[in-house]
Amino acid sequence: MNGRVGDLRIATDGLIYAGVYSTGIFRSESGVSGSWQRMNNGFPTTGFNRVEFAVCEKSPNVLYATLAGPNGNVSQAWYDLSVGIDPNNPDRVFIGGIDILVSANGGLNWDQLTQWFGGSGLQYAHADQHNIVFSTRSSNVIYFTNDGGIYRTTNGAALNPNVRFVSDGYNVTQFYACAVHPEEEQDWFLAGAQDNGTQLFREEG
Amino acid sequence: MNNTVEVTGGDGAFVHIDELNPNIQIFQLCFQCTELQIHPGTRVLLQEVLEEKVMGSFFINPTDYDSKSKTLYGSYKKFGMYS
Repeated sequence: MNGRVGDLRIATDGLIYAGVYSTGIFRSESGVSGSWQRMNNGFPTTGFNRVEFAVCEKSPNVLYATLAGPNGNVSQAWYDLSVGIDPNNPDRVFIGGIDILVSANGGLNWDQLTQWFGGSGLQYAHADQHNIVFSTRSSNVIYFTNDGGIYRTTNGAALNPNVRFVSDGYNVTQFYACAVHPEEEQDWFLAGAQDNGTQLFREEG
Repeated sequence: MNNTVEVTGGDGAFVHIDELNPNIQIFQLCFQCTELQIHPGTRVLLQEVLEEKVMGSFFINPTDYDSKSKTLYGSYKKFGMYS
C-alpha cells in the first residue's frame, strides 16, 4: 500500500481499514506491511482524491465512503468531508461537507439537514463539517464538529433531527483583512472573516 | 469581541475604505466576488464570483486599493493581476 492515508479505522470485528488518496480503501487483518488488500468491489478506481469513510459498529461488513473530487475541481471536500453511521442501523447515515445531510435508506436518498448560509429555511449549523461522532451505542446523541465549534443532536434517529450549538465560549473567527476609517474619532472598522462575512465594528476597544 | 453589524454574509475577505472619501467602501468576498458600497446605502456588485476552474481564481485573492486613482488592484493565480 502506497500513498497518503487520509482516514484510518478499526472496525468492531477487528479488521483495519485505511483510505488512501486517489487510490481507494485498503483492508488488513493485522496492519503489518504486505497485509493490506485494496477493496475493489464497487469502488471507483479513478476520478477522486481524498477518501473518508465509516464502518458500522453493529454491522461491520457495512462501510460508507465519501470521496473528494480530483485536484483542480472547485470542490472543497479536500477540506471538509466526514461520514458517520448509526451504530444500531446501518441504513442511517450522516455525511458532512459544507453542510450536514442524512440518509435513512442506505444512501439511496439524501435530505439536507442544516444550512450555514441563511434563507433556505433549514436549521443553521456552521459551515465545514470535519467529524461526525455517535455517542456510544446511541442512535440519538450525535456530535458534529465544524469550523464554528461543536453541534449536537439528541434525537438523531428522528426524521428531522434538531442540531444545536453546544460549545458556548468557544470563540473562534478567522479574519483575513481589516480596514480603518481615515478620520479621527470615527469608530468605523471593517473586517473580512472566513465563514462570517464582512463585519462592521462601531465600538472602540 | 465587540458586537458587530454583518455587512456581507458568507465568506468575507479583503476590505478597503477610501482614504480620501471614506464613504467609498469595498468588500471583497471569496472567489473575487467584489462589492462597492457608497455609504450609506448604495451597494454595487463590481465582480461576480469567478470560480477557480473558470478563471483561475483562488478562494482568497489579495487586493489593495489606491484612493487617489480610485483603482482596486487584485491578483489571479500564477501572478496574474487586474485593476
